[in-house]
Amino acid sequence: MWEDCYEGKSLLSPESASKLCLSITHVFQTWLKSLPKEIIPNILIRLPIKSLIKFTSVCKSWRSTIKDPSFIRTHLTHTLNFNDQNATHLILLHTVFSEGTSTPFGRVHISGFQEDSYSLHYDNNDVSHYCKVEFPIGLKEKMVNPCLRVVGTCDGLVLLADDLGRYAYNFVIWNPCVRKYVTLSKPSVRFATHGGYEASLGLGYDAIGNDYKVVRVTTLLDLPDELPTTLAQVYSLATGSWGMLRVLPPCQVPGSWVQASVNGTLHWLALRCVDDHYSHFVVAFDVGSESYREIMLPKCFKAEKSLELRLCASGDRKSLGLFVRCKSESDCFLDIWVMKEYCIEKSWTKLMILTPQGPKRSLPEALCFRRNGEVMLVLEDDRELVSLDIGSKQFKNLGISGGQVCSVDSYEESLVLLNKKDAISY
Amino acid sequence: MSTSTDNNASITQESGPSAAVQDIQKKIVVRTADGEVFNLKEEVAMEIDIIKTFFQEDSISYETVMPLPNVEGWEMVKVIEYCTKHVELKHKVDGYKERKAFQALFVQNLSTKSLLALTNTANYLEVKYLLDFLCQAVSEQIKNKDVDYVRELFGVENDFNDEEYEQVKAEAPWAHENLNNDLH
Repeated sequence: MWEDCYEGKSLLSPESASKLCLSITHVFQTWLKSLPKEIIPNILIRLPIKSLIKFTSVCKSWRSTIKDPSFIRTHLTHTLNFNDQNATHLILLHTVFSEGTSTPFGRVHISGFQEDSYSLHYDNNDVSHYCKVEFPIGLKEKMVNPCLRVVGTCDGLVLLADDLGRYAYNFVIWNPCVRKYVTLSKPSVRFATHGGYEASLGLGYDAIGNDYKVVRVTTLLDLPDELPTTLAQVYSLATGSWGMLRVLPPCQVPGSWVQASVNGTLHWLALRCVDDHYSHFVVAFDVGSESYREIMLPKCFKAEKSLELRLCASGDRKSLGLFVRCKSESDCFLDIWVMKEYCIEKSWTKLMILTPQGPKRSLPEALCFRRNGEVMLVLEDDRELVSLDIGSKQFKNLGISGGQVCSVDSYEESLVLLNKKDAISY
Repeated sequence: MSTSTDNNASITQESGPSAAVQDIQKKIVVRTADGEVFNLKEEVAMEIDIIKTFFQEDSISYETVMPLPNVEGWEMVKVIEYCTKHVELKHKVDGYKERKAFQALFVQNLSTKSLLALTNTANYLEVKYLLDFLCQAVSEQIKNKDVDYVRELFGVENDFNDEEYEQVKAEAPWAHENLNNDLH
């Protein structure tokens, strides 16, 4: 058709003219058909984080879309749904290698620190490696102790605490995906102001205020021996500040550095004196409403040196699990419990009892429940990570070393912190 | 290459919402922008919300040929292909592998520009599952591409000045490294 025009035929035939008109109309319609605004976010939410950050340089409107808080939220929801459908959930593994650990006064100290590492793995049968996570170098300089501890994770954020040893007040909210972190201001309860204390921490999402909060529960030790005083304080990422100190009902929350985050609520093990002995229960703190409640354990576990209790989220992440490990001369077992219905104390069910194995009579330590219901354990002697299928009672060696100190937390890649102005990039 | 009128699904056939007899071969006819005419099986046509709304909500007789001025013939072929497969897999219990294999073939010979055009069409026709699948396919194609490629593909202009652009890159230099510049 174009040849008709260019090869010197001075008049356009009617056929050529109509073809030309159709062609122009077609081009015009194609131009009109430029992408409606709703399609671009639908494409963007599916991109990997690195691509998204790169594409903030495409143009101003793409940049503001990607950094918009509601886009960040939608991206997170999409990631969670995608991971559910494709079984691609991740876990964050932090392992510390050192000569040894000690637990003076119940807190864990590292002695002879060698190295620590962070990595992401798929929460699948093999716990296959996803990627290594680079730790921000700038943070190491500020730390008091040889390395930081992972307190917990939430929506792609990782809460780190500098408490593997001496008293320190370095807390960091870190998103390794976007390579940004925020260091928290100092909390109110410190050795200089309150004397000796035990502290427990947790990170959670406040759905009401669309805010991430850190909760710090401290039990004061250097008080005359009357009622133990336990205080709670909440840090808001949105305001960048700690709130008022609140007094909790009399109890002790030992510096057990494990918390369970379930249903927007943080949980720690606590002790209360009942009939002349201390027994365990669960303190639950709702991050959104900042309200407090107590949950009973399946039975009365008296506080004893040989008894270690560890709280965690259940496999379906909707309720609590409990590991009770006893290693004494007379008794040696690891009980695995789950609270089948959240907050229904009668639904606590003992799933399995592990007994010591082998000539050394070693008893593994339990870390957490995996999404598939298996339990992640650390073997006592070689510190290897193992996954236990409760139904078949089969152990699977994962080929990963747990080091001296190991934390396993579920992890979702997200853009949270991307739009936080005072967050530090590295 | 249009699937034009076959003799059975003629306009003289009794159809329409009031017909008492269940006619398995009920067809809906659409015409695309380039004049091609397509006969769709009713169950496939009803997967396309814009068509469903047109006929059902306004109780328009199936004799009417629905115009689709924003859709090209080749796009309609692809949409029909996808929706037909979707309907077929609805009745299967474990169609996961089959669906994945079909999806891989579906996008195999489509350029990224064609994928994007098809995404636009799926949005216009209101076929949510096809739209989501195509957005996913586009995202796979562009994730490792550089910024210039993406701008050209989406017809977007760089409205940063040099200084602003450098500033944006400096926010996260690590994200702008290791580009894969091979273009399909």
